[in-house]
Amino acid sequence: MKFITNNRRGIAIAVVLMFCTAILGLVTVLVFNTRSHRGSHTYQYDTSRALMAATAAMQLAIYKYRVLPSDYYKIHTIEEAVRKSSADAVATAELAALKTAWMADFQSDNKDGPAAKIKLQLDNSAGISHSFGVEEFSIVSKKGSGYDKDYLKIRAWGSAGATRKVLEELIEVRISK
Amino acid sequence: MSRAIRAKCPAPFKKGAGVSLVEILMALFILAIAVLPAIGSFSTFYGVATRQMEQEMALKLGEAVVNVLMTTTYSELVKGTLTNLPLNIQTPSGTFAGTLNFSGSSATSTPIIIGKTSYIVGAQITKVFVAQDTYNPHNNALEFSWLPPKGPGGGPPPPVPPPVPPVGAPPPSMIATYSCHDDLLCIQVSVDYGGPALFKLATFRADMTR
Repeated sequence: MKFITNNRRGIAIAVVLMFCTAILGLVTVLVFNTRSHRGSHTYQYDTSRALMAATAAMQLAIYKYRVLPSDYYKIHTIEEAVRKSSADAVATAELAALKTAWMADFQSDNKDGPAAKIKLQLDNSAGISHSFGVEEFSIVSKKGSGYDKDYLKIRAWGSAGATRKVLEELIEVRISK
Repeated sequence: MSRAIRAKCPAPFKKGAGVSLVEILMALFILAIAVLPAIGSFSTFYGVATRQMEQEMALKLGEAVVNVLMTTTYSELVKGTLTNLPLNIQTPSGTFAGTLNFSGSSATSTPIIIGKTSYIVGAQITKVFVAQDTYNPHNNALEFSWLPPKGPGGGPPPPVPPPVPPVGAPPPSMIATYSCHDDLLCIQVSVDYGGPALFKLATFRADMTR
C-alpha cells in the first residue's frame, strides 16, 4: 500500500506537463497556419494589380481596333489567304511584319509605343512596376445555320510584382463582305 | 470510521496519498509559464487574422469601385461632371449602398463600415492622353502605328523611296501613324482601411462610345 501511495506523488506535474505539451502543439499549428497565410494577401494584391494591367492592355487593343478597323481587316484578309494556302511566301512574310507592327503598340516594353506611357502612369499611380501586353489578337468565325458570327479574340496579359495574369475576351464584330 | 475499515480503504483516501500543496503550486507555476505566452500569441494571431481580413476586404472594395468606374459614362468621367456616383457593393455583412462623391476628377466615398472597420475609398481620374486637335496639334495624343499592307488585297504599293536620301534625314519608314481624337484615362482607386498603407489600384480606360 505504501508503494502505491509513493507512486502517485508528482502526478499533477505530469498532467500539467502533458497539458503544456498539448498547448505548445496547438500554438505551433497556429504559427505555421498564420505563416502560410501571410504571403497570400500579397499574392492577392499583386493578382489584382496584374489583372488591372491586363485590363489596360485589353482596353488599348479594343480601342485600336475601333479606330483602325479597316487596317486590321487587311491583316485579317492576308491571314485568311495564308491559312487557305492561297498566299505566296511574300504574303506570308508580309503578314508576320504586319502583325508585329499591329501588336507593337500594345506591349508596355516597347518604349516608343503608347503602352509605355500607360505603364508609367499605372506605375506612378499604384506604386509598383507593371508590365502588360497582348499575346493574341485575331478574328475567329463561328458558323451557324445560314450565317457566320465573327468574334474579335484578344488575349492580354498583365504582371505586377512576381504575378502574371492573362485575360481573354471575345467580342462580337460584324465584318461586311 | 473505525481503524479496521480505514485500513481497507483504497490508497487515495489514505493519509499521504494524492497531491500535495507544493505539487499543486509547482503545477500552477508550470501552467502559468506555458499558458501566459500562449494567450499572448493567440491575441497576436487574432490581430494578424483580423488585419488580413481587412486587407482582403479593402482589396475587394477597390476592385468593385474600379469596376464601377469602368462602366460609368465615359464623357462624364472625362469632363469631370460627375457629382455622386452610387455604390452598391456586396459585402459579407450585406449590401452596402453608399456614394462616391466627385469633385472634379477626384472622388471620396462615404465611409463603408464592415464589422468594426471603416473603409474610405478614393478615386482619381487622370488623362493619360489628350485628344488630338486638328487645328492645334500637340504631342500628348495617343498615336497608333501600323504598316500599310502592300500585298494582294492590301491596298496600293508604297511609293518608291528616293534613290539617295539626304544626309541626316531619317530613313524612309513604312510605318504610318494615327493620332486619336479622344481623351484616354487612367483610373486610380485607393482604399484606406486604417492600416499602415493605402491600397492602390490603377487601370486604363479608353473611349468605347464610337
